Amino acid sequence: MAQQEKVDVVTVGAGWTAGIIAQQLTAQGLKVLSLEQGPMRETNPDFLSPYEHDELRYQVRREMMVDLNRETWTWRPNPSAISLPMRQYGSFNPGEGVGGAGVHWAAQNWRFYPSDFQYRSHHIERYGEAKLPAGNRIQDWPITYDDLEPYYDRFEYDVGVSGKAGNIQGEQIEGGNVFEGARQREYPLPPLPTSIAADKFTEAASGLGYHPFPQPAAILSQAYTDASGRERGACLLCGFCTRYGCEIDSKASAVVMHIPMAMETGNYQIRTGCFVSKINVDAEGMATGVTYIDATGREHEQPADIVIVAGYTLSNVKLLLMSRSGPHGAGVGNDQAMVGKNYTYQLGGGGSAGLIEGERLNRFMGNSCTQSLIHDFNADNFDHSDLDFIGGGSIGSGGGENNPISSVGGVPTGSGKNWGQEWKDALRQNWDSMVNVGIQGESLPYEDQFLDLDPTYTDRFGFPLLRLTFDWHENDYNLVRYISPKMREIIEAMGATNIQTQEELTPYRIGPYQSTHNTGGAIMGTDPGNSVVNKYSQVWDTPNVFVTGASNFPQNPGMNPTGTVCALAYHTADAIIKQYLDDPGQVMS
Amino acid sequence: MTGTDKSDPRPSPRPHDSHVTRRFFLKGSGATIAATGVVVPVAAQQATPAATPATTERPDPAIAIEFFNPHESATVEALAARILPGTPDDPGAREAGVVFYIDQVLAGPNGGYAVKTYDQGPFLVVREEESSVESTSRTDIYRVVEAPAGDEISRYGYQSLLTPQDIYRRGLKSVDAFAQSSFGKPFIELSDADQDTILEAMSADEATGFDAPSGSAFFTKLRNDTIEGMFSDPLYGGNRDMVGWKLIGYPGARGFYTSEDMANPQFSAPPVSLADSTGHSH
Repeated sequence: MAQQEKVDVVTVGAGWTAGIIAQQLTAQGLKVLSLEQGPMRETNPDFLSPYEHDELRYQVRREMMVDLNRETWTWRPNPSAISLPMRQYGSFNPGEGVGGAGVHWAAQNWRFYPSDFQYRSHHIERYGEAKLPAGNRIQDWPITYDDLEPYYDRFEYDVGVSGKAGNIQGEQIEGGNVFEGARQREYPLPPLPTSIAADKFTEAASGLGYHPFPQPAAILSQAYTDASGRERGACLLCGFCTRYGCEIDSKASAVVMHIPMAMETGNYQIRTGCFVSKINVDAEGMATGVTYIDATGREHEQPADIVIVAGYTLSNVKLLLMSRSGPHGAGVGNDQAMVGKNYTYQLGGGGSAGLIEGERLNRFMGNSCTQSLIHDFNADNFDHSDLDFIGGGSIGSGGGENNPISSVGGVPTGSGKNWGQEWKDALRQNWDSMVNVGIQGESLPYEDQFLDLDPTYTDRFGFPLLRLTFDWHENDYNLVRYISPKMREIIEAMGATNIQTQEELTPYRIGPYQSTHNTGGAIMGTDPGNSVVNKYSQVWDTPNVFVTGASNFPQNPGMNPTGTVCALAYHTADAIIKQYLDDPGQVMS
Repeated sequence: MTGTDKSDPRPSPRPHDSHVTRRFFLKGSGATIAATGVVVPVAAQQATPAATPATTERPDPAIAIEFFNPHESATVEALAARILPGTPDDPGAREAGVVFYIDQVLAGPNGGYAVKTYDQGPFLVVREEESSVESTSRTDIYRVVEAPAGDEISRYGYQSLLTPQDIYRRGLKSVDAFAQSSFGKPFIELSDADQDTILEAMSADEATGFDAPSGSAFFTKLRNDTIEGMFSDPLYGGNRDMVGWKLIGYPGARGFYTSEDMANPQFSAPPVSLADSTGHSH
């Protein structure tokens, strides 16, 4: 095994959280190394237009995603079912390469609700403990919205987030999300322009008495000078966004600002094509660094004072479980069998789709953030006293970037026949007249929903694949049953015809794409008995290891995770600088 | 390949014959899942001779065909032309050159997989009765795992042991065998209406004689690939003259739009390909 020169900090992965933490720590003079399993990715030349405006390569063939023949994930619906590998892309799309999934994210940028952080106590206080679903593992985060607010603010101002505030220091503002937690100031940039369909949604939702607002986006609506001092240009509304890199750096990602800033210090390096297979520990159980396999198959030992496990949720959990040794026989972070618990996802059922007949909507332009939303049925923004579920979701419409290969299949015909002359005529007539109203719903943790190592299937190096045990629960079915008619009502008010509605949630299937919001598995909590990490994302049983990202979420709210993932990364970096380095190896309080 | 293939000297398999693999594809998922008995190597399954004449002319002799034989390419072209029919004035899949797109994909490495695919075993096989699996477990990929019964298996998505090349080779033979048994001729010699009857039956999974892929799974594969060939950039071999994009009013690989464009229901612009886009052209 080749011995590498010691660094202060090694990060596993080079995506959003690694980039943010590297930028913060290298600025303090620490030597940081990121080991990334995928390739190098830079805006120039990797995302250049027009070459990247290629739906087949990026959207259909998942150019930026993990090579499944090297690494995939197995799934089973419950602990007594067999598990089988996801052989081709389906339910979720983990990315790889420098910048991680942040390179090709949708950039829908949210703050979670104050009640999301106190989910258990909030619901018990308002509805009583009996309201929580059977078999749940719901728990409070060890951090509050107010704790995190300055870090949300910092991220939003560092990269440039576009949106309309709905609550500034307690004052509600019409046109923004009036349900949101208080923010200290307005978004740095006004919202992105909204699409024709989004405007129809806004009008319909207002008419029904709801509170529509434009999608907050980590995409620039105007030119913006970011924290690196560089002025970046406004979004070109090109229509190639989610699953694509941004050719003009208008969409924020770690390769846009944080990684270049870290590189500039001279204290940062990235090694690509390097798969980290183990966190190494000493006799006392403290980490000494990591073992990784390079692109040619050679094994290396990389010593470091601090190990930051900063990959995708599923990669983080797998690495912890593979890091078995004497002091941590079940894996790093797993002394109390908490790794893999509280795996959650994102609920997407109950939506409606239809046509605005005779009208072209230009849905091939823009991006997923040119939509409009309501949160009247998200979180606990509506009274659940007489309802048979808790939680809710974001409801929205009018996202753009409708590329043809991935959308023509859904064009309806009068007879329902989806091929032949009738279908061809429908494509001509209605392809750009399709609208939908969809939901991003909460996902709660349960005892029978977790991650562990698969006993049968292996990755390219022979290590076990990570196994997902997951299915929808009664709370999810009831939520969809309640919210589906609300969405139907909105799309009807938008003037849609030929409406198709999913009235009932169907059992989880891994085949169709749903959401790349896999969360939990290395959750944060108040003590080692209920969590893997503390509020600083520091591992309780191995305090010089940090695990970042959405793997920290005890349960998943009804919004995209990345805004909170990035705020937590700033929070972790701050704690390392201000506390940890004064007394290394100690659990911070 | 099946009992409908009269040129096959072997006895016809019975539905529960424990010595014959009967993998089927799941509706809509493209997944191969089940067999009613022992798994046998793919190569052995493909030994069945074709039931169709080899008198077919290739589509557009000026363009290389790298995977299909002439008859297969003509059949795929005819199938795609029923999914998206056309004329020279109102082009469809034939005019767009969809068959050349599909041929190029299948001629690629790794069995014609165009998408990232995990190809390690064991593969899923449903055993409907007790049988000796171990006798064929020579290599890893022939190890099998028990599958849950009924619709449960469809939840697991794509689980096929067959490559896209296998799917086309086998599916096209089944199409011709079904055409032969229904109308007495191979698919390409049928009228448009009879061809539609074949596709109707396939899409409803009512076509007989399909083994793996099933009729509906092969139909779904053909339809998906036709969509890709009709609407991907012309650089990939289909969508000639951007006829797919013109059909739906899609401007192609353009560099940008303004917020005024986005709000304008009258917006219209001719499509541009990656080949002629200058990136920030409008």
